[in-house]
Amino acid sequence: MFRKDLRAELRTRYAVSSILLFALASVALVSFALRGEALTPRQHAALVWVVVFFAAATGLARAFVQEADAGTELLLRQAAPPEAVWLGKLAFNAALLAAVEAVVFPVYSGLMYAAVERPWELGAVAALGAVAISGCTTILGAMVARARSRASVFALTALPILLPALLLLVQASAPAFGAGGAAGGGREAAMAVVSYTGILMVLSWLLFPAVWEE
Amino acid sequence: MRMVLGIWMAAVIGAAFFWSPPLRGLGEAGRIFYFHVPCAWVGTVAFLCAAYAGVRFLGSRDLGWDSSSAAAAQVGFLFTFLATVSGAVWAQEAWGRWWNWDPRQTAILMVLLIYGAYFALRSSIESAERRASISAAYSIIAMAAAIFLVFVAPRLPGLDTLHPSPVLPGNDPERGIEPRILMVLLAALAGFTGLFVWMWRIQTRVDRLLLRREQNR
Repeated sequence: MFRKDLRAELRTRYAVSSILLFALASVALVSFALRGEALTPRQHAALVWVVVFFAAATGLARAFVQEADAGTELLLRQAAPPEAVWLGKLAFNAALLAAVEAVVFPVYSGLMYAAVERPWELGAVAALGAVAISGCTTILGAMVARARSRASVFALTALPILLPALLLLVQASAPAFGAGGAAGGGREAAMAVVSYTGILMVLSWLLFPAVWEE
Repeated sequence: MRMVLGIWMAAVIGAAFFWSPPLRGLGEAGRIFYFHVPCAWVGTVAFLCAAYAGVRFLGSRDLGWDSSSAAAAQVGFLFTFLATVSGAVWAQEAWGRWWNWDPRQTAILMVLLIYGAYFALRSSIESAERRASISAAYSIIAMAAAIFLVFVAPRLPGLDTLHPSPVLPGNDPERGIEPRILMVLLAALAGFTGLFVWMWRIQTRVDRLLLRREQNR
């Protein structure tokens, strides 16, 4: 499943380029609007995750929407058990988002003069974020593939579900921008992201067959 | 049921204003507490009921359960909204601002957004069966997010809340809770829960009729 999506994506590069362009445009907009103003580590963390969230909201529904548009849903239902479909799409979304983050984070810290004190820590939180965001929203993609005005409904349904994870990710990544003691609790916040994402992923795993099958 | 509920709620309102002593440290305005806390409580219970009905639907594929789930979410949305508004009124009176971005206020706003998204999702799917199974799944996921927002998020380190914890005011470690305050609060909780059940049943009947009309068309 994952390999099929990856091959399809590599052929067109539609999803990755649209998400990436969107993210880079928002980073450029933010940096132009603020023009190098000194921000606190927490503000940096908040801005970069807002950019990642909106980029994800524009592109992550595509994994299922493209199946619905191409009329391949039925075939996929025959070919693979629902759990495999969910896991494959989840892995693909996470890889896609990680690739986007790998570009967005360095560009952001370059354009915004955000000195990253502990890059490896930020990298770990970013990877966690990619898994968390796709873990919470993959099932929503399957839901909105059946709905009208999918893009807006996806953003609408994903935001409140993702919000707890995003708030925690901001808290977890702030120390990496050099907060020191003021915005401590990064490790606790990262653990909370893991537990929240874990709960939602278990629920998605259980509920996916009901959403996916006719 | 209606008669009992009417008399009970009238008694609760009377007791909250005339029988209960003023809440310590909160003054006369603190009486809003008898309505704010039960609204928040009913909002939470309603969303649990919506998720429960969703689980029942997924188990039975009976569309009646879907109507029941949607009805619980609708009534719950109303009560959560009332809890938000009464909380804002209280915040203005006690803290001088309608909105403080207190973690609990933020959490309840997010819960309202979650259910707003639930209604948007419902209205965007045409087929009744498909709508039912997708909304059931969303209501269960939404409940997990709502529980996290309401119970876990305000207790995370680094987030200071203005809300008392435990939430009972007048809770003196030496003398315990003033018995009259506790009695009125418990009566209000029972009354609001009864009110919710009554409204939920009516709304379920309405939703089932709408479903039948949709199917006959």
